[in-house]
Amino acid sequence: MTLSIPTPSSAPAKRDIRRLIAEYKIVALLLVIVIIWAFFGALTYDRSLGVSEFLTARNFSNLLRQMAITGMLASGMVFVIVAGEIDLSVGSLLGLLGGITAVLDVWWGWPLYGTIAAVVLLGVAAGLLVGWLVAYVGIPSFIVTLGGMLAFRGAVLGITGGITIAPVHADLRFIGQGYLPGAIGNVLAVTLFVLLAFLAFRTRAGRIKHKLPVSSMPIEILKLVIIGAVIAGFVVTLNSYQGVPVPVLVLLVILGVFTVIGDRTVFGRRIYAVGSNLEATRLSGVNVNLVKMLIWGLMGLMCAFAGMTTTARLAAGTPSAGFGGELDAIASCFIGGTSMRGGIGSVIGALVGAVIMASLDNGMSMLGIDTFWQQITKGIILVAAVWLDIVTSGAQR
Amino acid sequence: MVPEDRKRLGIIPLMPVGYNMTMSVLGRFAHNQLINAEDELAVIQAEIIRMKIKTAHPLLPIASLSGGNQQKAVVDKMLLPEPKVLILDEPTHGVDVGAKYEIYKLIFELARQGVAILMISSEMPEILGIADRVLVIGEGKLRGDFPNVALSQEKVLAAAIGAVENVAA
Repeated sequence: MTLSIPTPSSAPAKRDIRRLIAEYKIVALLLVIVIIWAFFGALTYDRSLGVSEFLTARNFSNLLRQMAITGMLASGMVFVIVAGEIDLSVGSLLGLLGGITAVLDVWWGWPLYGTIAAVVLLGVAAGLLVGWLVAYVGIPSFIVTLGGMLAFRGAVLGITGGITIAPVHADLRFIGQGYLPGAIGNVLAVTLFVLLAFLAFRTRAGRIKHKLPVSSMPIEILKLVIIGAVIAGFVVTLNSYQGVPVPVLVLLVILGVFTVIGDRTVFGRRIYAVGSNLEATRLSGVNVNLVKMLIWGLMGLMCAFAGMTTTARLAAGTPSAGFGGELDAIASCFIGGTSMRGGIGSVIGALVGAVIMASLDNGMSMLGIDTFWQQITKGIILVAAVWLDIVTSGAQR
Repeated sequence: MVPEDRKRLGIIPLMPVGYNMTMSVLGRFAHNQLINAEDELAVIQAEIIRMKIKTAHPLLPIASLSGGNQQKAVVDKMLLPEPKVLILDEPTHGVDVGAKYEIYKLIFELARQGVAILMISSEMPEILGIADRVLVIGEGKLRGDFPNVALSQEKVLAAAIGAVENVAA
C-alpha cells in the first residue's frame, strides 16, 4: 500500500531515514535499476557504433518481454506472500495450463476465445482448489503447493505425453509474440495519462472537501509531469523498435487492476490485514478463510495468463515450460520489497523486482558471462534484498 | 468483542490507526468493492475526535501509538458496527490512567444508550465502580452473584476465596 504520511518532526533522525527508505522503497528500487542499466550500458558500449548494445530499444523490448511471464506470476504471488503464505506450485501450474493451451489449440483445433476461456476457468479452479486446501482444510500452504508443484508437473507430462506440441495457430502466437501498432500504443498512452491526471485531481478535490492535507499544486503538477515523461519515454522507445509487445501490455493492465485491488478495495485491504494479524482480522468480523481462498483464485488466473503467454511465445507447448518459475516469481516479490512476514508489499514493487532480475539475466548473457555466475549473482542479490528489508523495517516493530 | 490480548488479537500492527478502526465496517464505504477513500477518512477523523485518540495523523501505523490510544482504537472498531451486546475482556489492561478514565466514561455512555456490556476484569475497584451486577468466577465455577449495591471488595474476595475452601473440603 502506498500512503503518503508526513513524518513527525520530533522523531529521531535515524528513524526518519528508515521510514523514508520504507516509504520510498520504490524510488530506491528504481535507482537500483538505473545503476544496473548504467553498469551494463557502460560494459556493452561499442566504440565503432557509438552505442551501447544493452541500451537499445530492441534490447529494452526484449527485456520487457522476458520479464512479462515472471511478472504475471509475481503479480499474483505478491498477494499470496502479503497474506503470509507461499505458493511453490505456480511454475508447474503454468506448465500445465500452457500444455492444455497447446492441446486445445493444436490437437483439438479450438478457436482462440474458446481456448482462452477454458484455460482461464481451469486456472482459477486449480487456484481455488489449492486455496480451499490451505484456508478451509488447514494444510500449510508450503505443503499444499509443494504437492501441487509435483502433481501439476506430473499432469502436464501425462496430458502431453512428454512431447512438444507444435505449431500453434497464428492468432495464439500473437498473444506472446505480437506487437501493438505504434498508433494504438500512442493512443493508449495518452488515454492512460489523461485518466491518471483526472484521478489525481479528483482525489485532490475530495481531500480538500474533507479538509484533509494535500500536497501543494506545483508538486502535484510536477508528479504528473514525471509520470507523463515516463509513459512517453516508455512508448516512444518501444515504438522506435516494433511497438509495445502484447504480453507487456497484458502485464501493464494486470499491474493497474491489481494495484486498484490492493489499494482501493475491501478485498485488498483485508489481504493486508490477514497478513499483518490473522486473528485480529478474524475477530473484526472478516471471513479470513474466504479471503485466502480468493487470493489463490487470483494466483490461478495469473498462472493461466502466464501459461498461455509462454505457449504463445514459444509457439509450442513443452512439458518443461515454467520450470522454476515459482522461484523467480518469489524472488521478484522479495527484491521488490514484499515482506516475508506478511502484511507489506506492492504489485509495482514486485514488477520492479522482476525487471531487476530480468536486467541481470539479460545484461550478463550479453556480456557472455557463464550461466553459473548468473545464478550465483541472482542468489546473492535476493539474500541482500531481504537483508535490507529486515534492516529497514526491523526497528519499527 | 474487545479481546484481552491486544497485541495478539486486537490490533493489526502494520496498518494505520484509521484502517484498524474501519476494518469491522469497511463495506459501508464501498460500492462494488471499491472503497471511497474520502468517505472513509471523514469517518476516521470524526471517530478519532469522538474517542479522543491521540495520533499525529489518522494514517500513522497503529503500532506507533501508546497502549491506551491503541486500545481506544480497538474499542472503536467494535463500536462502529453499533452492537447491542459488547464483551470487554480486560479493557483497561496495560492502559494509562487518562485512557482508562476515557474508557470508563465510554462504558457508562454506552450503557445509558441501552448496550448490554459484559466486562471481564481482575481489577476490583474497576468492577465495583462500573458494574450493575457482579459475577465471581473461579476455577470454572460460578462462586457468587451480587447486585452491585453496598458491595465491598471484601465480599467479592470472600466469595472467591470461600468457594476455594468449599471445594477443598
